[in-house]
Amino acid sequence: MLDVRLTLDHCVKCNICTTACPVAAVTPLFPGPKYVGPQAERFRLELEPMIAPEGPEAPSPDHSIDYCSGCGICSQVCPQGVKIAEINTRARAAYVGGQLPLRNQLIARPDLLGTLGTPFAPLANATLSSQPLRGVVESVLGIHAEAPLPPFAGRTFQQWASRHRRVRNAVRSVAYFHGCSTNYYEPGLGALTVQVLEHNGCRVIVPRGQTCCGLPLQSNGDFPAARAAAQRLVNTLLPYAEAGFDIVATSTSCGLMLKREYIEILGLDAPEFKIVSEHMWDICEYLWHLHEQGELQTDFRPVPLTMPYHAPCQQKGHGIGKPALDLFGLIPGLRVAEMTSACCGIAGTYGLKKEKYQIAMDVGAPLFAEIRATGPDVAACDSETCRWQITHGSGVRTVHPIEVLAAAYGIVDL
Amino acid sequence: MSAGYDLIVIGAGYAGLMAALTAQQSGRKTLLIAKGNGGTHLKTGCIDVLGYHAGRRVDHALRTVSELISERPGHPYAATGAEALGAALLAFKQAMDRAGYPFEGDGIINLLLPSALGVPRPTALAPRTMIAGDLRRPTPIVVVGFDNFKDFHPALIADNLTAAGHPARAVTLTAPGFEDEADLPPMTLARAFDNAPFRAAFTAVLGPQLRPGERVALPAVLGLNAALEALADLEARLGVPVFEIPTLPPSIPGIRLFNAFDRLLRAAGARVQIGHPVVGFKTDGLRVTAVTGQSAARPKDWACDAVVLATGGVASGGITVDSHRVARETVFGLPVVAAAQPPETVNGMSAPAAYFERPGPSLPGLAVDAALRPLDHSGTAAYLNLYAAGTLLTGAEPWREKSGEGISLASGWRTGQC
Repeated sequence: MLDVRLTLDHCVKCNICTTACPVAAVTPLFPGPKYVGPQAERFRLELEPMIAPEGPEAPSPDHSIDYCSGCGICSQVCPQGVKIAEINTRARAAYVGGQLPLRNQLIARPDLLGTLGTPFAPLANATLSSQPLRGVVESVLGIHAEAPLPPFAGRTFQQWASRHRRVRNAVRSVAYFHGCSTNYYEPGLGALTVQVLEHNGCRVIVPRGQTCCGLPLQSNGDFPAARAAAQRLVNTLLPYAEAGFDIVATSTSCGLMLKREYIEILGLDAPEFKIVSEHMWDICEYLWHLHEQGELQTDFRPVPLTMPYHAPCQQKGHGIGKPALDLFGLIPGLRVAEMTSACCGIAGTYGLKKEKYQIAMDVGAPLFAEIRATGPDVAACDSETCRWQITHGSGVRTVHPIEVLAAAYGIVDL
Repeated sequence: MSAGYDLIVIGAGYAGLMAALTAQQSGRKTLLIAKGNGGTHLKTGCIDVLGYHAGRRVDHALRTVSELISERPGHPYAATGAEALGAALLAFKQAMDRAGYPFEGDGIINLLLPSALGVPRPTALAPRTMIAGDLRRPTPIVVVGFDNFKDFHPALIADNLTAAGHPARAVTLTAPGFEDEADLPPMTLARAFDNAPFRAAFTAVLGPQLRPGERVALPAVLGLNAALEALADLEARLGVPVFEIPTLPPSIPGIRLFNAFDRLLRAAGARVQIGHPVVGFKTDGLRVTAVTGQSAARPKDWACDAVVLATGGVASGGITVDSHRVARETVFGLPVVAAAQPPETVNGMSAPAAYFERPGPSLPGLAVDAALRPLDHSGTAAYLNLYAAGTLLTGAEPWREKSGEGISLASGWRTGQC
């Protein structure tokens, strides 16, 4: 964890991060990453003991840190290599000091919500889609009444996977880390992922008992709980990594946790975290890698659609280019426009919060307008909460790149 | 179809952007990869080609570049050639026109615009938002600033302009709606100027303070996404010419320029990846076959047919100088020439005047062949398909010559065709 902090000495105060920050652009409540990050960090001399697993709690001098959405754009644009977003995420944990309000404790535990909501999906969904009841939820809990909350599927992807017959004559095996959203909200996406991988000769193993990666806990500042979640998930995936399996993820931000943030932000340096990290692949990264080896099936049928593509902030954090765009380029008839607007605003759970909903919508407004201006049939985006936010903000149905590939393979209609 | 790139450009400053756009527009599959944003966000947003030569201010830029080339065969312009410079300026202007952020000037006759200190600065091309500030016109200037925008100093600019023979006076206002802000960032003002209600409120305050026959200078914050609209609206409301003077960084005109390049690159199908430094490369001995980028879980190789290195000089991290004054090119470990020498010292203290007045190039850079390929220790191209562009090239003194963007565009344009 020391090297994240030491990067602040590379800050030359050029303010490039502040010019790129999508939150500072729309609200004076967040002065910008430089002020909250490398600048304020110098006043957080006691930070290390504060965020250490058993450290004492102490107040942070800067309350605006709570308005950082955690998109990570500041770290990407910094020409000096200062890990601004990482510094800020850790500073927020110190600010929160493990004392999350009830709302944040709830929305930071999607696997708990999913476990509770799935058996009562009709009732839960009726509540979520009822504006009067959402008004009650907003006033009691502080989750904004208009924030995009997906309906529970009522069945889990794990249930689908346990009944799914694995293909024979596979040429390779992969493990699939599906994440909470696929399990509880979008099990169909998980099924398509398995089918697309199988179409490419993969035997897909879905490790049982996958739990939340801990990203929402990390983002909301509860590092002890996030570390516990990380340890649970890595324990589940470790046997597959040790057996040499590639592990693919369809949730971009959760995959990035496993690749890097456990180690870099949560400071988890036990060997198992590195082993799992080295075997993690974003699903589009993996499929394009197959193509680079000449092993991707390219029997694509035409998909004559106009489709904007938004690479979410956490996807950019992978440093793998835009493999979704590369894959789309193989599909005949598909006209794809890469969006230039930076961020949709939602940042996981940020835009769900009553006091931050409008900020998130204002952050996303240029992207929503850019998407609508392409006159699209459908839009594509890798990250689930971003897809829900874009659908909500732009009115354009937004799908995972896998759904587009599945349509091109003739597995499903888009 | 090959899964690799025809060209990988490393660096997102003027040279890298120009190389990537040139290559992608000629139908080559191009990846621009950079550690972060840089040159564009920190410079004026104008295109300096040659502002000073042989101790004198340059009026005829391209013609004087030809003289410079014949006098200094080691200068980057000698490697790019004057024709490439002219073609690059034309291609740049056409690109910015397409992006809706037009530049004026022709590279033949320099414009003369006020600097952030109020010094007349010769530059070849400038965005339309700065054109009314040309000091070859005698119209008196009122320099308008904001008391809570600390990166722009109207009185300093006005005094210096007046001292240089260009009558000017200063006016300082409070930006309407920002009365409670102690310290306004330039982006906040730029976004405010994108909005008509702010412009109306601002001109209502400024209008009564203007005198007949003046032109209005403002800090270069007149809109981020709608600069032309903001300029036209301000001029219509005030009834006088309005122009921007560059501020301290970050540079709003530079960010507009970067955004214009970014839109053009993506629309043309190029890939832009910012935020992940290049940490290595693969070679077959003669050619660079792949560039290795830092990615979240493991290093990632990007296969390529050719590479343009546009990582900038010492200030940008393309070259580092250690405490023993050993200079090193950071990606390929290429030999660096004209390494920085210790400044002359007086009583053990360095003497800044002596340092800056020392003749000849004093910053380290790369020597290149006629195709702009960096040389190895034997004096031949280090790799057959590796090219260098921009501030990384040795032999120039861009801060003194006012030649930085011209060298970057010319070498970017040339290497984008390699």
